[in-house]
Amino acid sequence: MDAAIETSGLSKRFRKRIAVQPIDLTVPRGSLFGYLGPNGAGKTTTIRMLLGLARPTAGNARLLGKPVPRGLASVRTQVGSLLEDPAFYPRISGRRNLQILARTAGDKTAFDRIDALLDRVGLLDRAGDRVRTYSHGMRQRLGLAAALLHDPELIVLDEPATALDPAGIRDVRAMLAALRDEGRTLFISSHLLSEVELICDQVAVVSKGRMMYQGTLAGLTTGAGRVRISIDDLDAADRVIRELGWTVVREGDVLIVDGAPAREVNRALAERGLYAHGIAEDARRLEDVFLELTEEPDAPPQPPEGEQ
Amino acid sequence: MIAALGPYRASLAQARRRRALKALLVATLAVFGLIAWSSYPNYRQQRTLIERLESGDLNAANLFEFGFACDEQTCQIVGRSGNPIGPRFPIEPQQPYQPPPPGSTAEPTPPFEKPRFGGPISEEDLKRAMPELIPEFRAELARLAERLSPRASLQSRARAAGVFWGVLFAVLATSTLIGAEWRWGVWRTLLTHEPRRGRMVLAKLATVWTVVAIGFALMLAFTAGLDAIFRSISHVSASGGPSVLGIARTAGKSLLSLEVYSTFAAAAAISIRASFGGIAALALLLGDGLATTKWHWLRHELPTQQIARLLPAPANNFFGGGYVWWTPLTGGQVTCTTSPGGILVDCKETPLSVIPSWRAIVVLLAWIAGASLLAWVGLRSRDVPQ
Repeated sequence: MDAAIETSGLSKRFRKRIAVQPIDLTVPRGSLFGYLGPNGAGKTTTIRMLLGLARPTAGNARLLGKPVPRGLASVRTQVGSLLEDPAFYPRISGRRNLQILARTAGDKTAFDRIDALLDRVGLLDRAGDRVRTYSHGMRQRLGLAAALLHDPELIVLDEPATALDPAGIRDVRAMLAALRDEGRTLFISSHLLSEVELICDQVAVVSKGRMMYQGTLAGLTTGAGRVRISIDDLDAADRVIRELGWTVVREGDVLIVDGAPAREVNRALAERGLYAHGIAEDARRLEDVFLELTEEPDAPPQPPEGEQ
Repeated sequence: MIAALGPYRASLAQARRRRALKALLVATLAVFGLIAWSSYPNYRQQRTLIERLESGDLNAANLFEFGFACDEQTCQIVGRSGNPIGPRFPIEPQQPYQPPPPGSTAEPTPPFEKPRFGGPISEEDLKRAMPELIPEFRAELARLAERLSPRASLQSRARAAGVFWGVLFAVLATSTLIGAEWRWGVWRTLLTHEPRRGRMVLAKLATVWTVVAIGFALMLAFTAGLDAIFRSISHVSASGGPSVLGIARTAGKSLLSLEVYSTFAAAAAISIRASFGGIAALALLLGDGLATTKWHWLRHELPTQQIARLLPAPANNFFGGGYVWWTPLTGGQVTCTTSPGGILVDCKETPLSVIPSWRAIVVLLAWIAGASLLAWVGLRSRDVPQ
């Protein structure tokens, strides 16, 4: 698969502290990729390495097929980025800041897009005001506009929803989905799982600098989850399931089996003449999986086959 | 090509909107305005004094309203501001004051009681000096006027702009331009839009060089304008002075001095990554001056001596541009010979060779290149802070 971002053994160490352990990351083109991890997991450091702001201690990375940092110059207008807590010249207007960034990149065409972008992020009516008068959320919106300034093919966003109000988060979510629909690749780091769950199709989970999972979102939340069984002979079914080594609890007239694939449970019951009249697999909540992964960094799970 | 100039144009556009820079420029212009103003009181005092002497308002009897600065054989009138006015004139050598021995009741030896302010000058001395005093005052006034002619004062301003106040402007302007961008975190935003750090450093340096050059040109234009006004107020009518080429050379040397300092300040600001990191450039260059004074052999390599060589300070005119500055090292190296018994036989002083101007310029240009390289390495070799 043609990758927009590809890393191989990319790692970063700050003196004695390992910020990012060697990671192999592949972000397919056209995907909306969520890069998840708790605070201090190494997400921002990874993004800074991808953007050439921090030198990797080992390993290498490629953005749109170009090596980082050597090849970054040739794709500088094809990659847009929003860093955590975006910084601008405080004493000049938002519009002027974008003009300066357009000029810095030597991108003449960007000038024509500035007002449309400011409108898209909801800042047009404040575009002429100095950035120092902006709220944190407004600076975040300006950062988003700056990320889209060169009409990029790949957009790297570090915590894009930070500091936004609920309406702002909804707007950004819609914008990101629209950008994906335009065929762009989006790489979003976040710890807001509900947001990622709503928009991302691919995810990677990092914890304490280690890659814990990489694959589809569905692959992370389905599979070995919970199975709910409705059956007439609850006692017999309960006994069979326990004999097979699975954990089962009874909730009213429903049995809930943990950590078992629905198909296998169904087959085991049928072989013993027990026929369920209802069997459903509960997808696990992303939050549960995330906590499982990030609280036990020593046991990275393998993604389901064919997901990577 | 135009795209390659993008970071420079962006940086310049941003610099144009920096209020701190404008405030700094206004403050510097005000200082240079004061410097220009301070060049004229001496002339005006002297002219007034001549007029009073010629009208008879001032004579040997009441000339004592002025102070006098005297040595054993000559005296010079001192104005109220403490500046000496006019030529030195001879006085009758006097016996030094002999205080009576302790316990003696004898009166002090006439004609003096005790030394007075103004020195051992008498009315007789002044009467004797009067016929020569006025023409000499006239000649002195003409010499002063010559120094205040449009060309001469322009050259003097050009030289003064290259040292001290001009240097302070260059260093502070550079610190403001580059250091503040680190404080605001703007560097990381800029580097995500132009990841070529070499190009960014070059753009920032070029911006600093341009800002300093514009500031320098404004200083010259402003003080030239003020000089014209002050000349008119002070009724200075003199022409001549150095050639246009000579003025241009002085201006070029001054600008080179400012660019050396601004490049050092830029390198320091990029390396230290703090608001006023650029000010470290001053410490660096002061250290260089001290090092050169201690180890003479460094005088051909370090920058301060080259600047001192190119812009020598005029004597006795602090505000007019002769700031306390490193002077070119020319003092002799003393070599002594001793007899086999260790007794000193002879000492010989060999004057140090003077650094030629062209060599001083080459060395300074090399330092600019070196500091630029340092800035590039400083940015390239380290992570950009979050």
